Amino acid sequence: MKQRDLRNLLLEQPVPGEHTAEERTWDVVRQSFLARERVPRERRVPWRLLVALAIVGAGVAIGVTPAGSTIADWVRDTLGRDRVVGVQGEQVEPVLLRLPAPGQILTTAPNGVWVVNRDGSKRFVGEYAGATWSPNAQFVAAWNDSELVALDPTMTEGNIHWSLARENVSAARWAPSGFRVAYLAGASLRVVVGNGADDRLLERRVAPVAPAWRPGQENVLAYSDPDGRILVVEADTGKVLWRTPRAPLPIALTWLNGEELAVLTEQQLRVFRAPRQLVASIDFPRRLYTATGIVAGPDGRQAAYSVYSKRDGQGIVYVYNRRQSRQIFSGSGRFRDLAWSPDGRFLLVPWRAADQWLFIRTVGRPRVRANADIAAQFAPGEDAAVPPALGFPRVEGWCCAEEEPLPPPAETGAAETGAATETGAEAR
Amino acid sequence: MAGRRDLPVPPGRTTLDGPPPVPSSYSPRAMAGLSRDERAWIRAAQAGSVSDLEALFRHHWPRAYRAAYLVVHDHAAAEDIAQEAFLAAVRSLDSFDRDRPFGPWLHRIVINRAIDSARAKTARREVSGESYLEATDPLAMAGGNPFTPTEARAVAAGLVSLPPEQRAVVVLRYLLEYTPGEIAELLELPRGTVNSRLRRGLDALQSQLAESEE
Repeated sequence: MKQRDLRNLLLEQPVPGEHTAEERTWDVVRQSFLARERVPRERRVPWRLLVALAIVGAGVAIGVTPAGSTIADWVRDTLGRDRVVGVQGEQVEPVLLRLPAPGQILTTAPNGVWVVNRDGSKRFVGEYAGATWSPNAQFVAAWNDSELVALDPTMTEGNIHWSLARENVSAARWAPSGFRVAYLAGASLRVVVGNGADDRLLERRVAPVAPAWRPGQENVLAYSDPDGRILVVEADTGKVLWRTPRAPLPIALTWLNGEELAVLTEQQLRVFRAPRQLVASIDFPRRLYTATGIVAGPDGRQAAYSVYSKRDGQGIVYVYNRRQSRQIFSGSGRFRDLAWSPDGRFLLVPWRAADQWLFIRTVGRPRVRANADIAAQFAPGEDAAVPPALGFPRVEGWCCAEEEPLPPPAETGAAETGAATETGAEAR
Repeated sequence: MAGRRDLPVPPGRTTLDGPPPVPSSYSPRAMAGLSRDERAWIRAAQAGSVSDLEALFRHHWPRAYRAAYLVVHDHAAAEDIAQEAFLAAVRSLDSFDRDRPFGPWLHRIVINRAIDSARAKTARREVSGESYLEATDPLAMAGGNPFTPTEARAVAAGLVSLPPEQRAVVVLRYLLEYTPGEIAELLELPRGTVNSRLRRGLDALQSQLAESEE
């Protein structure tokens, strides 16, 4: 067989769907092209000269002016050693006194799950590996290696409404309707009714990423398969509404305004409008940046995302709104688990490297309030020699502005017997 | 999956995507895509022209899709692979070096991802050779094929019988017409490995053809 013959044979092999695939792909490529945001080329900046001038200037200012002295005190008290903050703050508080906005914060420390109230008081919920709020904060879905439970967050270590025995549970998310909870059990994705009944398998193999419920649509769920495809499905029927092409595995999914799905990988933020229309794309060059997290605001119109700069070890927090990204904070280390206040006015930035929670006001004039010694506050009585970084809690969410009356508790374990117990509006 | 699809980071660039600026020597055939037209399309697309981007896309789509399909034997996966390659091109458009050929850069992504996909499918046993042969029955082909159905079927069967890495090398050599040296560069393999894969691949195809003639 001659080389030319083989080439012709390969060219003549029937390839199904070539032209329809071409038109579909051109549509996607065109949208991506129209939606792209150009990455600015690096410019050579005389950094050494600028840094030297800045140090000299700051030293003079701090040394000779009262205002400079105040700033120096603030920086020392707020940020400790070798830490840099990107915005002007108010002052550091030695303990968590009061949240700057309504609602309660759900957080998971090494010893278990805690709720932080508006007045700064904290309640230990139980020894779980992670947790998530129900839509109105009436319940908490919490999990560990062997079970998923729904419990009353107003009670300390008790009052479990239902539980499911499942191995390797993680990443549970309560639907905005309150009627479903999606969670990962090992590599599979499962969905259970909000009262613990009718637990079933939705997908056998998925990526280890928390699924995202679509707000405003009854029980529509987005998740990633192991090849990085994002699938949007009707959770009750399993019907695939749309999916994206294969891509690197995402680290987070979140819906914006119920209309657009933001997909964050380590190197890219993509925003899709149903069905799978790519409307925005922001690249984080691999050599320079790694994305670390994203969370949508309570009204869904904006999102906060964080990246880590490999060049200088800085974490940077951006607010994404109407295709534009605005930097609101930077500091040493990586930022994860950002959380919006229920009123959308403050962003909680957990700062592990500084052992602080920063509350950054995102409307009006930017301000930051820092709360120090966070790890120790969620590890009462534990060895003070434990490095804060090891005990720093993970923020699960900040919910909700309205405090509603709690439903009467149901019998524990009702769901395990298959009984569909009504436990209030969220558990139907 | 990880690693293969990633291009080395060229110094001074802000993104991994895009053809590396290091000197390279592609054959006239491989460079054929780097026509005056292609340079013009890339330049205009960088300036925001959708029609020039479309011209670039239409020019490269058929071979990119066919190459992916011949490696993975799954049209949905081939569409995904080719689509991702073009999306990568769009993402790195601003940093494209217009003096570099677009085709080899695109084909590198397509082939590496196709190899990953074929490997994963082999592991999952999602597609069998038999189902491929059924789906691509040469008797169902449109007219204009100068070869007998037997030959086409034999080549299809021969391709299916090859491991994904050998399939990819055969496709690069005989469909996309890269030289062994260029294939070695594209896949970041020693030239000897490329030659041995080509040899084994051709032997398998010859064997299938010989069987079909008996």
